[in-house]
Formats: sequence, C-alpha cells, structure tokens
Amino acid sequence: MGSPLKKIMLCSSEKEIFSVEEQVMVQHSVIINNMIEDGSYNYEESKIPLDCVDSKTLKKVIDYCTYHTHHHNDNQEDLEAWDAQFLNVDSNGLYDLLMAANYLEIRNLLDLIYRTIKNMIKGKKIDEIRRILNIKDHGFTPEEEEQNRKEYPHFY
Amino acid sequence: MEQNNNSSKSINDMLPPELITQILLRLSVKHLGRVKSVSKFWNNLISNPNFAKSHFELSLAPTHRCIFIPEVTTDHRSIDLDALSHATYADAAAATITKIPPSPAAADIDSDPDYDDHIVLGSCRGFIALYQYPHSFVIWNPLTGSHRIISCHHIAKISDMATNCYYSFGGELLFGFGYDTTRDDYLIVLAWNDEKKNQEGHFDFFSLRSNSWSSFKEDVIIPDQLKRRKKWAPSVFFNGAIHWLNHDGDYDAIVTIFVFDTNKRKGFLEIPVPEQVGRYYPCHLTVLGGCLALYYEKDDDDYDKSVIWVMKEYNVQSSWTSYEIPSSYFEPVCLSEDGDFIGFDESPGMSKYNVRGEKLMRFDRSCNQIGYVSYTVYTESLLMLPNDGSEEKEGSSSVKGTEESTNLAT
Repeated sequence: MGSPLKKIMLCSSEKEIFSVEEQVMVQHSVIINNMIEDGSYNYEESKIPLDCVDSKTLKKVIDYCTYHTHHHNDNQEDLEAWDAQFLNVDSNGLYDLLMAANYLEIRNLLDLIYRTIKNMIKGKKIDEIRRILNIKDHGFTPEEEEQNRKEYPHFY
Repeated sequence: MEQNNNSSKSINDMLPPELITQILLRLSVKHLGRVKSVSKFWNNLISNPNFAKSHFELSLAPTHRCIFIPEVTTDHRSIDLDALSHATYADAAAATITKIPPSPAAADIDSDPDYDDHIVLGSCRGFIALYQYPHSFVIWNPLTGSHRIISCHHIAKISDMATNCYYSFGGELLFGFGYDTTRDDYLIVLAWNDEKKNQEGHFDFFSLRSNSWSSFKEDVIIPDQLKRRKKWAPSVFFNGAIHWLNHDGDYDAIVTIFVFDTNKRKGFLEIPVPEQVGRYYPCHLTVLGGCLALYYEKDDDDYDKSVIWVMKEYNVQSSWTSYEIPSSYFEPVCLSEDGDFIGFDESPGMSKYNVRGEKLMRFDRSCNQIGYVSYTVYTESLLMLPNDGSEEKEGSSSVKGTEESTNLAT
C-alpha cells in the first residue's frame, strides 16, 4: 500500500496528465496496484499511459475511485444514491466507463455498471431493449425475425 | 439514464463480446429466454454451452423451482419458489404456478399405458432424475428439454422387483444422482444386492458422458449399515457429493448421513446427526436455504409436532439447529428470503411458518400435493447433457430422435 500523500500520474488517450493520490488508485484498480507492487512504476518519471481511455472517461473513473476511497464508511443508501447520480450519463458514456473499468480492473465499478445495464434490460420487451441499447441491426434474417415474432408475440 | 440521441451507437458495436456476456450472465434464465431474440449476436452468446455453464456456476441470477410429477398423467406443474417466497397474500401463490411440458418419461406413458409409474428421484444442476417403471431412469432438464433415457435392464433384480415401486422396489440399497466436476459428467449411482446370487453386493454407476454402466472398483465398499437397509434411501446431491440418510426404523442403530463424493469416487464418509433423531421414523433428508436438513414427525409429547434440524455449517456437529412446527405433519420445501419455512402441512396448498413455529400464511391455491406422487426442488439451468444432440450410443434406449428441443418458457 502506498502512503496517502503520494501521487501517481495517469495519461489519457489525448495525452492529458491526471495526478491522483496513489492510494485511491491502488485500492480500486488491480492493474495499478500490481504496477506499484512490482516496482514498475517510477515516481520520478513514470506516467501510466491509458491509450484506450479518453480524458472525459478517465476523469469520471478517478472521481469514482476518489469518492469511494474517502466515503467507504458512508451508509449503503447514500453510496447507492451517489452511484446512481454518477452513472447518469448517456449510453456511450456508460460503455466508455465500462471499457475503462474493465481495462483498469476496477471490480466494484465493473459490477456496478454490469448491474446498471442489466437493469436496463430486465423485464423489458424486445423492441424496447433494442431501442434502449440502440440495436438497429439485430442480425436475424427477415424470416427468422418474423418466425420469432409469430411464436412469442408477447416478447415484443 | 439520459435519453439516447442519434449519435448513440449500438451496444454490440461498443462492447466486446466478453463484456456483453458479463451483462447477460446477470439475467435470470427466464429473462434470457426472451433476450435471446434481441439480436442474433446475443442469441449466439447465450446459446454457447460455456455460457450455460458459467450462468449456473457463477450463480449471479439463480432461480429455484419445485416440480411436481403426477403418477400417471402428463399434467406437470412447477412452482416458482422465488416468487412464492416473496408472495405476501395467499392468492399471489397461484401466479407462481406454471404448467410445464411433460417429461420425456411421461411422453412414453402416452404411447404405452402399461408403463405408468414414474417418480422423481432428485435433482442436480437443473436436471431432474426420474425412475420410470420398470427399468429406466430419465435425466431431464425441463427448461432446455435436454434429456436421456437410461436403461438398467442388466440389473435383473430391479426388473424382477420393480412392481413394488416408490422408494422400495426391491433389492437395491441406494440410488443417487450427482455431478462430477473434474470430469464434467453426471452420474447415476446404484447399489443393489443380487438375490439370485446369494445377496452378492453390487455398486454400479452410469456415466452420462460415456453413456454406459460400470462397476465401482472394489475399494469402494458399501457400509454395512447401508447393506442392512430394508428400503431404498432417497438421495440428495449437495456440496459436490451424494448424501443418504441411513435410518430405516431400527431404533438401536446409530443414524448417520452417508456421503459419496462424486469427484473422488473413493468411498463413503459419514456425518453424524443429532442423537435425538434416531428415535423418530420416518426421517427425511433435504436441503433448506443452502444447508443440509432433516425433518420428522414427533408424536411422543402431549401434542403432535414436526421437527426440522438444519446443519448450518456443513459437517459441523455443533451447528445442528432444531425448529418445531406445531403441526403433526410438515414437509419443508424451501426457505423464504426471510428464513421462514415454506412447505406442506395438513391443510391443502402450501404453508409458511416462521422459525418460532408461528403459521404466517397459507397459500391455498398453490400446487397441492394431492394427486401428485412426487416432487423435487431444483435450481434452473440452461445446461445440456454431455453429448446431447449427437448420435445416440448403445446403452441408452428409446431416446426419440436427436433433436434438441429448447423450451425457454417464460
């Protein structure tokens, strides 16, 4: 574990540098934790390049980790309310966050986003799911699609 | 979520398959049946055998049902136990009952009315094990339709004695159905005495993967207590092993649970049960809230009651905890989310009691035992049996065709 005051540098795909408390990232990201532990991060010179995470997304990820580091003793209800507000983004933003959380292996954020997307699907009809997730090309042949609609009309 | 604007891209273009899979793994099998038709790509992800395996084993959205198999008709019913557990008024339970397609065994009944006996023997990973008169077992997943009919013709004893069905059809001692994680195989184990050959003991198993019967090696010895049994013992697959309660009404005998590990296939372990249990018969073994449990009727006090013992921690003697239900008859089926017992008592339908034995509710329109010979609780799965859909090999009889029927009923 790093000391609370130490900072590390993260570099977004736009080459923007973010300085973050080491502990915040170490606690949440398996990847960064491993880099610090195995000594591959040099505090004097290193920036951790995150070529597939843009600045907007990286800022959100850092917000999430920072908040959860400093508020982990808050009651569950407050944390859930904060999380819900945090994920109030458009679907592209949600996917970008999911990709970043996956890349950095931030398990609680990953699980939160998986659950959020699952809840967008759960109990919905097929046409509604397609609209919400913007699936225009469903990939079924017109015959297959017609067959499905005929067989399970209440699904659509 | 903010409204999507026109610049939003399809989830399928934005996320790699493994992340979409992670989302889908969190949906219940009931929802997946519908979600399969959202896109071909999703359909492929969900239809992958590895998906079915992960969905069951990760258990991110497990669903539990109780299936009722009637003696002679094909009127199979199943109760959504999760919904029943949440039901707050008696009538709500009616909505949790679904009619399900008849088992492959029942389909046979229609074709031959003489073969009209079949009973539920247990469940494992979404598969139900049925015994079908006179000499077959049926392993069947009601959700995917994947099934195998297994002949046990070669066990002459069963053929001879099968007329006296229901847990006691002859010289066999033990039946069990379980799963072998290391070989990804399902096993039927069957111990029996050959009365024609001076009670020669046999301990055989059927591997669903190799599709054949074999005998266990000689180092797998059936405990003497089990050999003395007069009746066949129902089994419970739990914690990677098949469990039997050794208790057949001999009050002097020490009652234990015998455990056969389906991975190791070495021999039997024993788990002692609380001493008091030995005085009551019949005593039944089951699983409640993820723990092994026993139940029996206790009729030696001023008033009749039923007793339930739950082994809160597996194989920890001090963890056996008892509960009393003030009903001369109570058969617990499952625990509700709040830890209440849901099961059958003297009144029709199902009843819910709390741990202090107070009756909370009677689901009067829920599935009634009357007219139903047997039932079992199972966790739903999308799993198929090994080699399902491939050419049938010798050893399995009368499997009709090789097509896979996928009934994702919702």
